[in-house]
Amino acid sequence: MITFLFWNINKKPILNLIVQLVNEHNVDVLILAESNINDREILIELNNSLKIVFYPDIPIPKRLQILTRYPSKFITPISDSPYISFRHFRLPLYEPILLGAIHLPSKLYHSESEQVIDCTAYTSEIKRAENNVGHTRTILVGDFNMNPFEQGIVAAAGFHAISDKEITKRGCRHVGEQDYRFFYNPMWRHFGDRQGFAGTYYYDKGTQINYYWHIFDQILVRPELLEELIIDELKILSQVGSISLLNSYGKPDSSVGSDHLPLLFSIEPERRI
Amino acid sequence: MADKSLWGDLKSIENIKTPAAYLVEQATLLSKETGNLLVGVVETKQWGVDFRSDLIVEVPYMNNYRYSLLYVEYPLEMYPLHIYDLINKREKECASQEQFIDSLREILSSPAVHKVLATLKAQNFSST
Repeated sequence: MITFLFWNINKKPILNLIVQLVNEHNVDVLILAESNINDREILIELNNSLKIVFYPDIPIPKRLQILTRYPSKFITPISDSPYISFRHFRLPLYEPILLGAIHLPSKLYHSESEQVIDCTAYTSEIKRAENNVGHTRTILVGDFNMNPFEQGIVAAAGFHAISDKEITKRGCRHVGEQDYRFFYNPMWRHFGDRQGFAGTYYYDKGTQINYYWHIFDQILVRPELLEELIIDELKILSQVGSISLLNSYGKPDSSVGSDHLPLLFSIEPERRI
Repeated sequence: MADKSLWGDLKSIENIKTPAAYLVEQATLLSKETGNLLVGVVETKQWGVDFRSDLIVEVPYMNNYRYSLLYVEYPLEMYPLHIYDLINKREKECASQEQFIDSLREILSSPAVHKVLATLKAQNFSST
């Protein structure tokens, strides 16, 4: 089983919380967005506190940090562009996985319609990465700065990510003259306040339409990985040990953690026999 | 009547180079000067109502790993444009071709960019 943790840490110096989360949940792959903590500092802290060593990523500046428990010979960097970083996991015994770590532009800088147009460019990056590795066992994880129901996420020419596993199993959908491959978006299961909070990010604005809670932090998987995603292990975390990441109003507490809540999920990749 | 040009003097029309063309020149130079250990690639696409050109370094020895150095967003009339330096994490507006060339020079010759190029070039030797 491979356990992933994604967290947009909003430039907060919260290395202690990150290390505690990695320990607590036996995280194998740590992905951080908006981090001002450099790889070296994180590795020193992680490797001082854990029994298993974390390895560095390719040592060049990137928008997203990806640190793993796997030596670099098992992980091939595929690309690092402004908003997406791809890594190819070829672990012994397991079928390979293509990981795309994402941090898309904020709604502060890109309008909703611009975000939709931008998504078509991201999908060509995904296609290129999939062509490069020769398979479509792809997971995307990160801060999309869009909700699961927004056009850029759902549109065929966008991420084409939908909430229904069975439909996703069809593989692709023909629209106009083209076939568009699906992603499955399990984040739809996390709408509503069943877990005591209703998203990964909270923003209150004085406009006509106000969702308050957003699920900007998401994972999307290709149909090939549907059965390998352990759906019950997909969690939005609001606690680090005994420390709550929420304030007394039940909203993300930036004075303790980040303005985003972390996302935890696991994959049990198919074994190569 | 038919043979008489109504275009005026077409020879006086300026030969204008697009921002993408400048990036292609620099990409070609990178490939040449590193003996194709690092290959410069430029990708241009429509970006909303504007155009966007990305300058990417490809590393053949690393399974064609791609790293984006910078990108430029420009309108049909080309200037003013915005240049985004992804390594030094800076954005600049360039009002003219001259300003664009200056900014491009400043980014491409910056120590941070050279450090990245050196790291990527070194991967060639560590992966052989």
